[in-house]
Amino acid sequence: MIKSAKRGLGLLACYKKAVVFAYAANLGVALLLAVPMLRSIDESFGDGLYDRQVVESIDHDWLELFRERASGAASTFSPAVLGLGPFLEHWETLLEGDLPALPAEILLVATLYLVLNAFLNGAFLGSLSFDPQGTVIREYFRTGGEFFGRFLRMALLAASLYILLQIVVAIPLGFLLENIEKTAETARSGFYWRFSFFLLSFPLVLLLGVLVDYAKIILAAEDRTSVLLALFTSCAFFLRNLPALGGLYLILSGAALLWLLLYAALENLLPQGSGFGIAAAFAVQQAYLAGRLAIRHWFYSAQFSFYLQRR
Amino acid sequence: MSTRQIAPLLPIVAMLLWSGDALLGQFEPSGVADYRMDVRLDSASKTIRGKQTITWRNRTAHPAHNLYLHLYLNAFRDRHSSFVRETGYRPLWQVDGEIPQDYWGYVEIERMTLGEEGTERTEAIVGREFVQPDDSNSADRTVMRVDLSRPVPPGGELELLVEFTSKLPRGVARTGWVEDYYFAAQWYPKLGVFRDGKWNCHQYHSNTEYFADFGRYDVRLTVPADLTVGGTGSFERLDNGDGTATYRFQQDRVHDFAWVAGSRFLVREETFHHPGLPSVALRLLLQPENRHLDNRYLEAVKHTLRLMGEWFGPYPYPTLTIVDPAFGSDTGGMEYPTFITGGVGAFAPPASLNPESVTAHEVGHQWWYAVVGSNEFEEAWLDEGINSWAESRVLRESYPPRRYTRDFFGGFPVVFPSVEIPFETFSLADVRRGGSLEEMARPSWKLFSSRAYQVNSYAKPELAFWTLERLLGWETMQEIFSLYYQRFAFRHATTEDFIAVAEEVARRDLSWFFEPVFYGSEPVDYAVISAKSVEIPEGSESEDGFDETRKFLSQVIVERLGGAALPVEVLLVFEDGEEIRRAWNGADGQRRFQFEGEHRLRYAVVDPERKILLDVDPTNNSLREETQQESGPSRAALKWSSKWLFWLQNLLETMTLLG
Repeated sequence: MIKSAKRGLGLLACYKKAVVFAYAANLGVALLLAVPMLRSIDESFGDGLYDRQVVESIDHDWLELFRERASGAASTFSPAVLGLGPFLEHWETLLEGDLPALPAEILLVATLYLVLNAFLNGAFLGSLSFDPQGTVIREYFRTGGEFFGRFLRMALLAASLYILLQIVVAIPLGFLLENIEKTAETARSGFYWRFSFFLLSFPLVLLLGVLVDYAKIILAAEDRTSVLLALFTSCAFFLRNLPALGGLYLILSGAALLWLLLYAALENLLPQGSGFGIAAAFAVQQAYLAGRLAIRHWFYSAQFSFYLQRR
Repeated sequence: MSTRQIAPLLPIVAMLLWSGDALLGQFEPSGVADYRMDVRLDSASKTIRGKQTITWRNRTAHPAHNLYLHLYLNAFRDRHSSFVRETGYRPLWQVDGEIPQDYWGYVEIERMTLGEEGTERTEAIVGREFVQPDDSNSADRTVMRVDLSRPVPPGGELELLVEFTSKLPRGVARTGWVEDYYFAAQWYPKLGVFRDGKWNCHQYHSNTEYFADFGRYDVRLTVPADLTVGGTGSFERLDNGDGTATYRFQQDRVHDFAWVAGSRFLVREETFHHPGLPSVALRLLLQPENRHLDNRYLEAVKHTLRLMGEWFGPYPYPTLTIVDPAFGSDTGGMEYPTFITGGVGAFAPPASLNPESVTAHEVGHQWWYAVVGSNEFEEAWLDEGINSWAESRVLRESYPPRRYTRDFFGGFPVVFPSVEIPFETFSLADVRRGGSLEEMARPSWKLFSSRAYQVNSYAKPELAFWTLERLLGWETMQEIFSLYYQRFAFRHATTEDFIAVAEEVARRDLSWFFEPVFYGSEPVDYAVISAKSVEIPEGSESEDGFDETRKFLSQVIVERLGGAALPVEVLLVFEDGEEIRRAWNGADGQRRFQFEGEHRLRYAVVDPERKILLDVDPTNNSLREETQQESGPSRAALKWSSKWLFWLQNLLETMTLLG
């Protein structure tokens, strides 16, 4: 496990550009909606003095007014943009299967991002397979093009499996727990029943993520074309190597969690009323995201190395 | 000393003059309807059986030819009551399939006679029937008319003996049972209010609360001995030795009696003491899972007793019982004389002010409902609205502001400490969304929807009183409410009574405020729509020749966008820091302010001190002069859009887990 994690870091060091491209894609796609959001927020203050009241923290009166008038992507603005709010909100949405309830603009850019990711993931994993020591940008993108179709199909398969998971497991589970919750004697025990839904769904979604990750690795490492076969192979590999594979996953997840906690602590310390403070907070956020993308690629490279070792 | 100097001292003087007993004895005669009851709870069938003697005194100048009784529990008898009909036949309980028979509730009168026990005069009652004074729903059985053979003359008195059975429903609309928890509210036959020659006795509606006369309650309640009991007034407990215990509750000068019995309660007793205020025996009945909240409940009670006591006048009763309701009982957040229910979710982060908020609210109702008895059917705002404002005031004086809290993962609360929710404008969004639906001062069952009821009974009057406080000043407000409390203690007050007191204390006509706010539904919204300075062409002649200094003509246009007109102030600030203030009565739709000076205008603000908290859009109250407006996005816009950008980037990245 540790060896794979280390080798994964070594591989990633040869492909720092993968993180740069992924970050550029993430920022570029997000900016498609963030620019209109900037305009919406700015217009909500008018040309008066009210914006001064909203610099230091979110003014509750303004927040309510903004949310009432906002539509589309702007309607998602809430205090959950602060601190750990985004992480909690997104995981809740993912586990509850509420992604379709997001505004259409967001679903559209998310689809665009997933398509770009199919290309970039293909480029990264394909390049790891062909040239573990690194390659030129042109070759990197050529590899992405070569694997794009397969990775896109894999993304579609993963999305379908997620929907299936919701229909077959999450919805009936939610219904069952809701009925049990009705018999709860206290508010706290009622909460525990509701919370157990998330506790049970969380590993299932993670499991899906792991299986899809290895399926992608198999597509690239074995140069397979069938995404279904790759997924079956991934499942078999998963079952065969469960303890070590799980251990590696825990190491990588631990790193992701540590990075998140470091970000949360730092973000909390920054005064964000002045222009400098706002710029510093922005820099910290973007650094966190770049780090998060690096960790995602470390997941790929370490698991890639693990697969090559154990296949 | 001037009146202004004396005014803040008035409540203190009043406090020194009043002890609780003094207040109780001050307003004779107010005992109109006394109730003696002897009842027994059958926990297996969830029924309360017994008899009551109602002594009713006709204190009006008109004879009463009949009596009207509320039979509130019949709202839960079947699907045909007006209560259920008004909810759009929404199921009263969340159950799959058929509603179990023991979920329904009712009250049956088994026998009714006149006269004292042993000398009943059955012939005096010539008939009784269910009537529907508010609607044509003949299936509604929540009001009964009892016809008398001989009228009760002015000053006369009668005794009505009733034998009845009340079946408690499964917890609904703040009454009923769940497991071995029994909350009995609006559970017994109860007289309406006779005034102006007729009975004010409305049916039980989904959006209404209650109205009754003051009197003395003496209730003997027999329950299984293992249950802990609480109720209105002081009590004595007698163990009957047969597995039951009888509690005798007594309280004078109240207009209702409610009680609770449960097997899981933890009991905590304390006495409230504060210099200048009467002591109050506090009894907290707490669910065991909330044992860690005992101090928070009691602190909220004490803050409210102290502050409202100091501001408006002392709490007049010797006891106050606070019930932490059972989960799923639907009995939380309600007031009864000397007896309230709180309520709390699975978690109670201090920043959410829960249970403090609901506790302060229900304790506040002891002033605005229990002592000043307004008609909650017809003027719900009069107790709920005043009390919402008073509650917010207590919270503001006692706690830091609420922080935005959001539940994640099925109810785990996460507090966002940097997002403060001000007490004063807590209800602004509700008023903006629903304040224009209907006017405040109208019978609550006639309000179009439960949303209109909520806004007009709670949110809008609360915001109106915060606004009035900023317009008149706290000293005047305190004087208004302490006089209103003194004058109408143990009596029924109306909107007109309140306005008369307000105008008496303010020594001026306040119709400019009450007309648009209480009797109108138009929103308040002022905006500065134009602010510009133009340079006056050079070469204008002065006495000494040509004037070399630059001069500007500054013009500001303020518009009343909302239909409601309230007087406002307009502030103009110039580049040299000079400030000009002008008053505007808001009567016209627009007003232009024009000034000539050596400096360009920097900005203009309407209502600069934000006195008019009812203004539904505070963001349009100011405007920078045209040349001073920022060309790019503001710092605030950059900050919050960058935060949202980060939110979106994270969302996109989270979704990669799926492919």
